Amino acid sequence: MKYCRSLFVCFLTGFVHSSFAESADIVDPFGDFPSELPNESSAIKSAFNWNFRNELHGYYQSDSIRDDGLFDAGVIAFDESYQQLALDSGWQVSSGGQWSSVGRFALIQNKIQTDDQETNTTNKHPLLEGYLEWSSQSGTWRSQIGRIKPQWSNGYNWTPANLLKPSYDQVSLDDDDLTQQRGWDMAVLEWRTGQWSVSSYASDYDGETFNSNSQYAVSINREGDVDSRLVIHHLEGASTNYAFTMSALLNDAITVRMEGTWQQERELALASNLSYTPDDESGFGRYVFGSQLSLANGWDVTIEYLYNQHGYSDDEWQLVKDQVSLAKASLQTPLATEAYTFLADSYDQLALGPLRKEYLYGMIANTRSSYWLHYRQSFQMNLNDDSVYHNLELIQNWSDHISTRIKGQIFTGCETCEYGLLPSEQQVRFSLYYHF
Amino acid sequence: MVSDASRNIVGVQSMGLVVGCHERFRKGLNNSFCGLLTLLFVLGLSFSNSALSSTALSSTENILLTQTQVDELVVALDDYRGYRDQGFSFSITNISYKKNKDPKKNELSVKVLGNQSLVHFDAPARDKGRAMLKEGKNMWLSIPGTRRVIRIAPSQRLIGETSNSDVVGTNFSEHYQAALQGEETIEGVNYWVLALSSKDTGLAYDHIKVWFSQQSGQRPLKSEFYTRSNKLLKTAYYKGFKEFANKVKVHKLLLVDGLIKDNYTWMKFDDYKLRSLNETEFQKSALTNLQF
Repeated sequence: MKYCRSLFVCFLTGFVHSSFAESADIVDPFGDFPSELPNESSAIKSAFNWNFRNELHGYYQSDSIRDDGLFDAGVIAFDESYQQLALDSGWQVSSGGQWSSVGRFALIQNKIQTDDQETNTTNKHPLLEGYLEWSSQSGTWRSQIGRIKPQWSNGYNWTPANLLKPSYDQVSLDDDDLTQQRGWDMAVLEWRTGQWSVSSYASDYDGETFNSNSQYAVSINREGDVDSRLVIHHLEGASTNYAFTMSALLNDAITVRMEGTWQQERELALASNLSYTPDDESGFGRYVFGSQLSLANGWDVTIEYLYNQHGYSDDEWQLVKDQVSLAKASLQTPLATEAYTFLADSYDQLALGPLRKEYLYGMIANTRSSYWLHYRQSFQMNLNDDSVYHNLELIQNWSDHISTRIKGQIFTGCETCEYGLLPSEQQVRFSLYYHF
Repeated sequence: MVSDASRNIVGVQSMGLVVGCHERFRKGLNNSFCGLLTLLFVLGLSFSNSALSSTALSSTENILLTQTQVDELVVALDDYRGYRDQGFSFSITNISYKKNKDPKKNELSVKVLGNQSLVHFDAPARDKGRAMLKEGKNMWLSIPGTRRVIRIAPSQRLIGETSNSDVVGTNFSEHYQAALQGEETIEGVNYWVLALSSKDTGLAYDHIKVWFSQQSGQRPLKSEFYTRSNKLLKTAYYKGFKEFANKVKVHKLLLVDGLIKDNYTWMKFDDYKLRSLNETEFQKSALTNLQF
């Protein structure tokens, strides 16, 4: 009985306390201070400024693998589950004057289990970026040397203006894949004045597609109400490519963007005689038109259209399908080696970018709001074959340092449609982030 | 005999009506009613105080506040948040409160040069490294994970419950037309009440009311921010001031939501420094390598 009475008193005390707390005036969280503090010196405390940004994250992903993919000859073991643990560490050091240094490196451990129950563990420690920057006293001239990842695209989803090769940008950005953030070893010289800036780039090329060692680019950028950029990119011994970007504010809530590239070489090869051969034609464009509407309640709606000349036309796609049928029919013949190689190469084509001509992207998200749970849903639709890639993310910031994300992806479409060709039919990923 | 105090109350109330009528007149509403009130007001003033002119008056000292003095008060308001056309930097700590929710805190470093500003996110840790460039209505956001710089709309509120204008400050003397609306006595202190109307489109607030102390220093007490439809968006209480290199700046600001009184944000401004900034620092390409 005495125990119950004590509980009642505690409850009553708590009730009275909470009632007072609700009706209390707004309390200054910064504490009391003299109304006129002494004059604060404006002297810079230290000549050097250090800034760090670190993230430790891990995720587990489970995939549902299709049983009968179009390119599947039954000999490839597909990845069924993934585990990743990664440290993403970035820093910036400034002398307080004309010199500064920026860097970012990652330690990544991946553990992958294939659908035939084989487990592979890999460790990577890439330097994603690391460069030294010098700027003139007036700030008009700047120079950077080291590993840098320039971003010429101003895109929401597709980023065709990022012309440097090999491209690390994916059709759908995977925040957890740090290797997508790797830069190129290069030297940059930049001139800025008012709304204009001109940057020139000399970079190495370590890809295998072209027989080149270096690549060069010039970017002319004008900022303002209509933001525009022209990029000229040259791959040594290969080709000169061009990109143009533009973005503008339609009104207080709507932004629009446009982006286009023109490249000499076609990114996708044509199928014939159980092999893929480069297209002899030259001059292929890729164009993006997009808009984002920002609602007052914290939700953003984004829509984007892509026209891709690199993609296969209906006739060219029919050729791919015919060759796949021929390859599958040849698996038990003397042409088996060519047939298997062709089917494996077909899977590689999927990783090169959009396979067809026209795409639509849409997203709705409240990730900039202060809601308890952040929601992001998007779709990417191939307008030529109606296959769709759906993406849903639920993000929760548990504290200033800890966040979680649950992400689900579904790839729908017929077995000869782009998103129906992917080995995975569904993916679920749970990620945990610790920021410090 | 009517005392000075009561006469002034009548004067202020009438003046409020006249200012209100002027607004209505401007919007083409109820013109004849306003004209009648104006006539009564002018007659009343003629009988009660022959020394009064058509400009505004003070409650205690009967001094007039000319338009020049009104404009000077608005410039002073700008000076409490910055150094006008000179380059400067400062830091902000925001703590936002919502009923039944944990407070959210963020820390920012800001550089300002004219109508250009750079905001660097220092805390919380998950947002560290983000940066925003604002040049008038044009805004760009850089997210460190991807290094992409994308254009964002002014209506996108990126910093908790505070608007982007609350953070980088607004040049009131440039973007608003000020008029003396009246005066008020609050807890024994007399305040000028100024009405600021936006001169430009696309500003975060259509019109603002600001209370200035009539005591020496003429510090602001509070501001009310309204939409075009006269909805009160928020009230800012200037809760503390601090000297930085012999210049007094707002040190603490309390922003209370106009609709939900339980939603409010404390802002602490600190480390004000005059800086030799160059406009080349306020370019998109600078967003990915900011030095604060």
